[in-house]
Amino acid sequence: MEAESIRTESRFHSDTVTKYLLMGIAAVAVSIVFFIILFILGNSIGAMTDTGIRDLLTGSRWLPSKDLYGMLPIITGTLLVTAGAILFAVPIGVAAAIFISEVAPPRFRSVLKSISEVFAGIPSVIYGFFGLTVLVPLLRDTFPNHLLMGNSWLAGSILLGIMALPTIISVSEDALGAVPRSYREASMAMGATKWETTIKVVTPAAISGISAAVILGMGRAIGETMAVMMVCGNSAIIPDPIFDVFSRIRPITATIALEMPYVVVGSTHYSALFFLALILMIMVLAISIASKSIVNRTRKKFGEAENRPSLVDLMIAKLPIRLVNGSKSAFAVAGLFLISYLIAIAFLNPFWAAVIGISVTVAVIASSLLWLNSLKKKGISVRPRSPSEFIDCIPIKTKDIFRRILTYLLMIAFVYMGTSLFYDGTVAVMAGLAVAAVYAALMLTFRGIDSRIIQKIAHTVLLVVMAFAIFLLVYILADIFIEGLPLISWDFLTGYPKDAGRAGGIYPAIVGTLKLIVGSMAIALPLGIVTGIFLAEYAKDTPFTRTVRNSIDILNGTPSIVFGLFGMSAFVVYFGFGYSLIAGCITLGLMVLPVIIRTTEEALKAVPKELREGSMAMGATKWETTVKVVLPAAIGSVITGVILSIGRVAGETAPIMFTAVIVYQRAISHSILDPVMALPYQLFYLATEGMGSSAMQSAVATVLLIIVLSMFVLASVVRHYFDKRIKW
Amino acid sequence: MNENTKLILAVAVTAIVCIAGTYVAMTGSDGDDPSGTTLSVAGSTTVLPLMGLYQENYEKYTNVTLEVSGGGSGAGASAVINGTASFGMLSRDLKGGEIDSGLKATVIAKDGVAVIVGANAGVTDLTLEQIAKIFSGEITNWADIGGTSGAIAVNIREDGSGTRDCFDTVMKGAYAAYDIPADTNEVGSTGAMVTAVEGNPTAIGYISFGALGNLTTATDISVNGIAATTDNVVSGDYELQRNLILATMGDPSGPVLDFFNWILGPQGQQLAVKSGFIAVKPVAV
Repeated sequence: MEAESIRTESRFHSDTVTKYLLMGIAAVAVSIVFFIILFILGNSIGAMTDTGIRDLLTGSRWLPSKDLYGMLPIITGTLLVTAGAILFAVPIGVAAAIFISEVAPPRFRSVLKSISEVFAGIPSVIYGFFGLTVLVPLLRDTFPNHLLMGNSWLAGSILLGIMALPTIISVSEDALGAVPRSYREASMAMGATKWETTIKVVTPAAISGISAAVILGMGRAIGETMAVMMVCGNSAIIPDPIFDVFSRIRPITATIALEMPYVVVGSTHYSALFFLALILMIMVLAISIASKSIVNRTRKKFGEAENRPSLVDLMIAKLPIRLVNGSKSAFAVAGLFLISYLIAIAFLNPFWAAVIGISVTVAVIASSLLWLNSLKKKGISVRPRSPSEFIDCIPIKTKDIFRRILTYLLMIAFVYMGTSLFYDGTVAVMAGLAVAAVYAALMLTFRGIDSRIIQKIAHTVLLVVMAFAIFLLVYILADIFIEGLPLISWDFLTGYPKDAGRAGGIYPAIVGTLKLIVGSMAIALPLGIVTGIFLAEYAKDTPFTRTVRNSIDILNGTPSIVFGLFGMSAFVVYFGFGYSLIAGCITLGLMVLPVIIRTTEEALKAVPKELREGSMAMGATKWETTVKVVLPAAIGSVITGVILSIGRVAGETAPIMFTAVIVYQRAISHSILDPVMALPYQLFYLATEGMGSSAMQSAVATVLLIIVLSMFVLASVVRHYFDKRIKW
Repeated sequence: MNENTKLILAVAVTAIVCIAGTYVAMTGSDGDDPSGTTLSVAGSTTVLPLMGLYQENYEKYTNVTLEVSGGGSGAGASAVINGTASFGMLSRDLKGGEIDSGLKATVIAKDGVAVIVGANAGVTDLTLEQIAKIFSGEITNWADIGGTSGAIAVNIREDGSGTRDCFDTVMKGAYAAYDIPADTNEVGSTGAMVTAVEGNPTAIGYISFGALGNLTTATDISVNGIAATTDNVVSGDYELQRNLILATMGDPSGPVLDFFNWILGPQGQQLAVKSGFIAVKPVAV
């Protein structure tokens, strides 16, 4: 009897020990984020003291060889290229999402979703290769007078838009699917057609989720390195006029990737690049916070609130309400000024643009105050304390008029900007007015047409857009496969490179990629699965847990180039590993860590609690339950997550560019302190060098694609197999 | 199949995959010798193909392995200073700052920088001043200098390029107002420059003599009436020329010194000549 009770007690003591052990391991994720921020901040201080933050941010010439580090053109480059990508991706992405969610027959829904997931899995260096070999020549032939070389902002935005599509499609589709059926049913019950329901009820209801999708897509575009570097032209200039999409442009990520190879560690140039990475991180963080608060607001609206206030909500809840409203108003005024200033600066010089900015802001504030006064005279007493309250006061008819005026103004502006690149100013203005007139005429005619015909037209348009998206994907893959497959032979796959890597076989690259996969998984799997277990089973809602979750979110959003920079400064330089396999493996492992943590956590959470309760009721400790009951039940999703991470690791270039790769190696070394060849970097090197036949480049791309895509297929097969086995 | 059989099967499959993977990782080394030395090299894309030739020939009778990456002359110097390469390749002489950091140069060959133009340019000779004006954006149409009408698409190399360094220095010497506009198309390597000029019939650019063999539709032009040939570089008439050097931290020693001596020997120099460069020591016959 006594022996039994002692044994039971000690088993449950060990459970507490296990919990703290797991907390320790989960804390590793937090410390990684801390170290990344530390290294990046620490290394950028040199630039901040040498040149001064103001000169760095507002200087307009970036010429390191003459000690000029003006980052304004580069930061503008990131903003412009992202804006263009969003303009391209949002219409196509949201249309495709609406098609998948509302129009497509249910049978095709999963097929279409899988197709967009494949889009997401294609490595960015492949997109860059496609851009370099197909898109850029195409643009050059289409606009011979404007694009002497084809490399341009336009090429970069189109490519980034294609890459942001999967994110936008999948998150929007989720948002549309989350709209309760009752909304649709109520609308149809009142006699609306399916299309009218979709466009006037469902989409507005899902608008928060769609905005979150757009913001997440922006985050993806901002952090993208390889593809944009290969097609943007890489001139650090601000286009003139600012909407000249044919101009060459250089975003932050491309600057870091292009110049890192030749900076001397510790120099001002080195530090300036880290400062750029810092700015990038801040942008990405802002986006992540914005999207999370939007998603939370959506969840609350539809009743799925998780009682987990976002960081921003928490901060706001603690402040006095006057301060919050005051700052909201201040932001609104500042935003008004900024928008009118930015629009004006496209046409006028800064002084007049500022004048216009101030006049517009003053006019808006004055007219709102006058209008509020007139309401008071009518006896309606309103005291809006913040911009949102103010907007609520405006009658719906007025809001409608404003909305219409805004639509027309935007339409005219965009047509003007596009046309003025080809013809002179007056023609452009005429074109803008003409398009607006045509649009107005169309709206009037459509009002009279039978709503079922409108539905047919709308559905057909959506189908065309969806087909176009699929066509893009198929074209990219086919183009690469057709040129590359003939070159793939046993000799190619097992032979060694010749002629400084531009001919011969790619065996070392394949082996290098495999080694990177194994190494990064060795680091990410134990850490990730254990942290996932901690978050799913042991974590309570404490500040520690919230810190862990926030750290993982930050890691998840960090661009791959920032990981590369961190890996280089930490493992190559600081720890002295030099360019080595181990540096690459650690960097890649850290990069996929958040994915593994998240998939494990979700997989474990999906296991119903009855299983745990049954096991504990039989006397098992929490750890025994987790390891012997819950984990095996969730193993399918965990494996799927692992396989998808392997696909990601195989395709990433930026993290290994400064940590582990070389382009030419005549023998495979066995030391983890030696660098390796890797498929994605080999493709990048061959494609940008322009040497080695284009067939050889396509062949390397084909091998890489086959590896990545087969990981995808494997993941789906595994998921399917384990889904069948679920017994609850 | 019951659960036990499935488990055994899964373990067996995993074991086979692991063993296969280890086999793959362990074998297949073409000339790998665990007791050999590994030297890492980085730098100029001009010298890169030559280094590849060196590697194939040198490794035949030694057990030294070379691990090569590009990046440009600036990257070569930085890699040696940062300690990530055993020696660097540069297509220019060392700059003051690099010498101050302790780098020492070994000249292995001389090279010329050829000015290349696209197929529709219609010129075969230009003066240094005309070239400088083109790159400064002052001359914008081929017709202005006697060619076929067409907008000139200017291409330059990246900031850290040794080829660019040589070109800019000579241009600045020939035309005091030489200043490259900020929005000129920049390419990152010799190969990329070839692609750029080949791909656009009205383009202009500059490459090393060693890359001239890769041109198909683009052509090189003579400068001030002097053709881009190795003889003209040797005689000194062709002004766009520079040293190809290998940079080490301090004087070379050990396996690096042995390698350098071989490069400066008859066989190594012959390979340089074969690649289109100019030898600096006697060549094997």
